[in-house]
Amino acid sequence: MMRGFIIAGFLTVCWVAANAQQNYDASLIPKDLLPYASSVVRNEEVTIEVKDLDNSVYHIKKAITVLNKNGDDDAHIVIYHDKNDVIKSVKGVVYNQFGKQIDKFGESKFDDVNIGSSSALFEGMRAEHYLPAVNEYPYTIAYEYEEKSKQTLNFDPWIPNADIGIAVEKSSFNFICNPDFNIKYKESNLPAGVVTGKNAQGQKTYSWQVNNLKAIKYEPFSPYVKNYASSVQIAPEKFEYYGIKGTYTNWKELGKWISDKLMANRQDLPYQTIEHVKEITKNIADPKLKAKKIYEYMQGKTHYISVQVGIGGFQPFLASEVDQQSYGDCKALVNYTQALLKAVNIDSYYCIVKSGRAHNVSLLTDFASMGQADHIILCVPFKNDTTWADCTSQTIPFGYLGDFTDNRTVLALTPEGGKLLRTPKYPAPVNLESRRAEFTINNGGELSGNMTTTFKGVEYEDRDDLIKETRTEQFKMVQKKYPINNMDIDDFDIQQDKSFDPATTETIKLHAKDYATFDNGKFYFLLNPANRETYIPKQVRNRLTDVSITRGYTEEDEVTYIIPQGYRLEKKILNEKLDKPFGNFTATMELKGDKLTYKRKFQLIGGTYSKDVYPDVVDFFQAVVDADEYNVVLVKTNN
Amino acid sequence: MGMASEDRYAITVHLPAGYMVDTPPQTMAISIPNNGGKYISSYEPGDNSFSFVYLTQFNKSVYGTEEFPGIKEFYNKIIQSQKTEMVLKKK
Repeated sequence: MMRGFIIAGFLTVCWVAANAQQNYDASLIPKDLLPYASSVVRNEEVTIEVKDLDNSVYHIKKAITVLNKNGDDDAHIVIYHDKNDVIKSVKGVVYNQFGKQIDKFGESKFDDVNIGSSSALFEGMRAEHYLPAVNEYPYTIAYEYEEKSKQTLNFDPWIPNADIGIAVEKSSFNFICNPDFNIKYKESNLPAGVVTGKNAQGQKTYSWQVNNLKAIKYEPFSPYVKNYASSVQIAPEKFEYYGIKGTYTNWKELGKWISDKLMANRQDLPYQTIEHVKEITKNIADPKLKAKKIYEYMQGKTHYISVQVGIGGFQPFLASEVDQQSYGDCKALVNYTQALLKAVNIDSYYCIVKSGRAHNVSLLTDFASMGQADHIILCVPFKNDTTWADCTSQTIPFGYLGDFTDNRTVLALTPEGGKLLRTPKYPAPVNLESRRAEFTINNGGELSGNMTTTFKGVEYEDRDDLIKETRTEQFKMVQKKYPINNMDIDDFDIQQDKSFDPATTETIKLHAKDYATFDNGKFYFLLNPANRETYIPKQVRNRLTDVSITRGYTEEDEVTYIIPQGYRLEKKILNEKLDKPFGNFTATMELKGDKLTYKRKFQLIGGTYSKDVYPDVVDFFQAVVDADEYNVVLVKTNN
Repeated sequence: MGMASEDRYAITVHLPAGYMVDTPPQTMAISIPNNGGKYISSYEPGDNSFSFVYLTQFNKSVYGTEEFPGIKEFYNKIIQSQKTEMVLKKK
């Protein structure tokens, strides 16, 4: 009994002593790290030790000071785990701004949540997460955890300043492995390269360290933050993935391994399904139209459930299981669609991609590794007409990727091995929102008429949120999409053309009382009724990053108004024309008799531009916003 | 509305030399029925300057559903009055 007490007491003393080594008083943060910082990593030590091909251990130790509420997320601890990635221990301490301990926590304070859907096909992929409840800033959270993984195919990258607003006082990364375990590594934006060595146990060590990294500040139209953050990615040469061994040194070999070991014999389908697919395509001669028919069959039959590729494992579920259950994640649905296509002798590729709308992130051409992607899409290599499809949507057209996976380098699994391919780009003229409206403004100031808008390219999906809604709900939602006061919808229709040049067309019959204000013998109303730009990017002094416009788009509006008889324009007419490398804009108006015609074209052109053009970008948007606020003034003619 | 509230803005504008107000901004006083609130704007010309004051007042934190059309019309009137333009001209 007594002895137990003594040991417990001794351990407590050690724990306190270990923490006393570093003082987390927020005033000790070097002053030059404070600008633009919401949080400061005081000290981080990340160690990955590969003990064996089926046994790697992560040891994470991190102390981060949160300066204001924007930094709270940076203190949020999230640890993914499943039966193969097991959390061994977690503990941590919370300090106030003076570095005085105010709380401590262990694993019991973490919430353990299921991520992705739970269903018959999936075992629990889970995350433990914890965010200290502190509301006085600054505060510091110092924690430490260990996690054991039964695979060596995929290692988490080290990214000390992974997001804007994080400064780093000190962070280090150590990779430790046996002499016969070889790795490749990719260093990005590091002031100093790797230091290699040997430890006392004869293991190889690779070490990286950064000190005093300033916070990356937010700049509108900046490139993907991870392109200029510091990072190290690790790829093994020989590895084991849940019992399956492999080796690779490039994308070709990695793709070959995935095909041979994870994908083989997973596309068998029941005889009836094969016959059914043949039956529904038997009168179609063109292979591309055959594939479209099969894709639409798959869309009608299945639905998508979310399991991220990096967390849910890299192996798709059997095509026969998807056939029976009618659901799957992106891997399972692509694999299933491939199986259906194979039934009518159409070859296709399973393609691994990093998804995301804000930036087009490509796989690194010079560095193959498993952790760079998070999604699977389908590629059908018709002769001179490579066609792409995402199998997770029940509604998008065959051949349409949209802005989720466009214009980026992906890994296609071909019979010859992995091959890097580029997905299609949607340039500015293709991403078109074009609107025609014919309105009448009566003597009471009421606006009425018809407005038709067509959405193409990546804009095709612009109305997807309301397409599945009931008619009553659609009326309400459309009302919110347009800045027309008192807008009442008399009729509404939306159509989608799902051909290889897809388009969404919205038609609205509407009226809006008091659209024009009558005062003192004059009518006032906004010339641009439906599509006023309101965004002006803020001024940035000493901009650091290039101007990156991920993808361009085009807006064309043509609006005619029949105005009350006997009025003329009082003000100088609108005639704006801007032409810049990154975009152009024209807005004109003309009154002929009682017919006022307004034409507007706005185009933003995707690309990367020198940071020096940024003031021009601000001025461009300012001029567009000003032109879009043009107020028509009608005054009675004398005769 | 969350709570009863009152917003009051007083704007004084000094004109460049040689200009005068041709069309002053519209002024108005409207209210929400049953003493629900009011909007008042006023215009005061000065010596080579003018001042414009407006006040928006909500007297209740919760309004009944039957009061909604009145509130909508209240806002409609405010927006309409703020759409009109004031014009300056050379003396």
